Amino acid sequence: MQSTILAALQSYDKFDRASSERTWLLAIATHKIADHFRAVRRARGEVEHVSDHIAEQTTADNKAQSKDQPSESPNADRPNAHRPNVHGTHAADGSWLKPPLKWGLDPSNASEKAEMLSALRACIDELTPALAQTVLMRDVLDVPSDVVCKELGLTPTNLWSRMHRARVALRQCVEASMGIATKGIGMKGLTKKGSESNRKPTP
Amino acid sequence: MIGYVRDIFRVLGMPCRSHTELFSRQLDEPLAPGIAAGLRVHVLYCMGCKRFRVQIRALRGLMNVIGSEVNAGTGSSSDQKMPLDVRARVMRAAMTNEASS
Repeated sequence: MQSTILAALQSYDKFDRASSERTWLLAIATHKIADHFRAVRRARGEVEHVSDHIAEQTTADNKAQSKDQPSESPNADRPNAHRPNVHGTHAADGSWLKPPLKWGLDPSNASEKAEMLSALRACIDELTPALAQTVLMRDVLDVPSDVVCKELGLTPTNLWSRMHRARVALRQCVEASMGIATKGIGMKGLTKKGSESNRKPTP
Repeated sequence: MIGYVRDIFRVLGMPCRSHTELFSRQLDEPLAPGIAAGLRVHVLYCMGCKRFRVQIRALRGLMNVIGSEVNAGTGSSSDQKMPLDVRARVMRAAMTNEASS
């Protein structure tokens, strides 16, 4: 928070007022989080592929907000609307197709907790820009729901829908990363990889 | 009381996919007492939903840890000790000051 305000003060002259000050500040905060992840990875010697898509999404959201256009899919405000089973975990009738496996991990164990945190960081990077931004604000920065809704131009239902999709995707991703899940549980439409696979179907 | 019981039966009649949505929503806001009670009853016999609930709560806790690390890295670890509403007010105040300057 402090570094965000500091960065904002330092670069206030460069602010072109194309978007509101709030949106601009939140974009800076999002960049700070991405910087933090990048630094942590660098410190751990991991391969760096921290997403610049967050910045791109922020810019896109700024444009969308300035035009007062909804940035979510038409079904996002309709929780009961028919949704494709993108998670691959539920049957058509809504019952469990692939119920969650028992993790058997102990977060109080320091090494297991570190492993889970590492997997979770990588999984957040794998989320689509919109989902990643929402999760970062709501669960990581702990910004209250009403503030997130206001800043991202979402309705509460829209926010809950995004958060649910993000949590389901993160749960599956962490499960797969930790070697718990069997292969084949996809995150189509929820991750960058999933989006790419949707656009380029394999023959 | 009638509404409370009706909510319980309404939740028990929902498919598990709807239950997972409610568990997720429960992390963001308190649900109506009847709906929360219906979910508690459901996890007594549904292992899939019970694990889902435990796991997304665990992930939420881990994300809070990441948030603490971010704040520690930016030198604002004291923010974590503030109540949520105070943090929101500070954030809003910072934004308001920035907008008015």
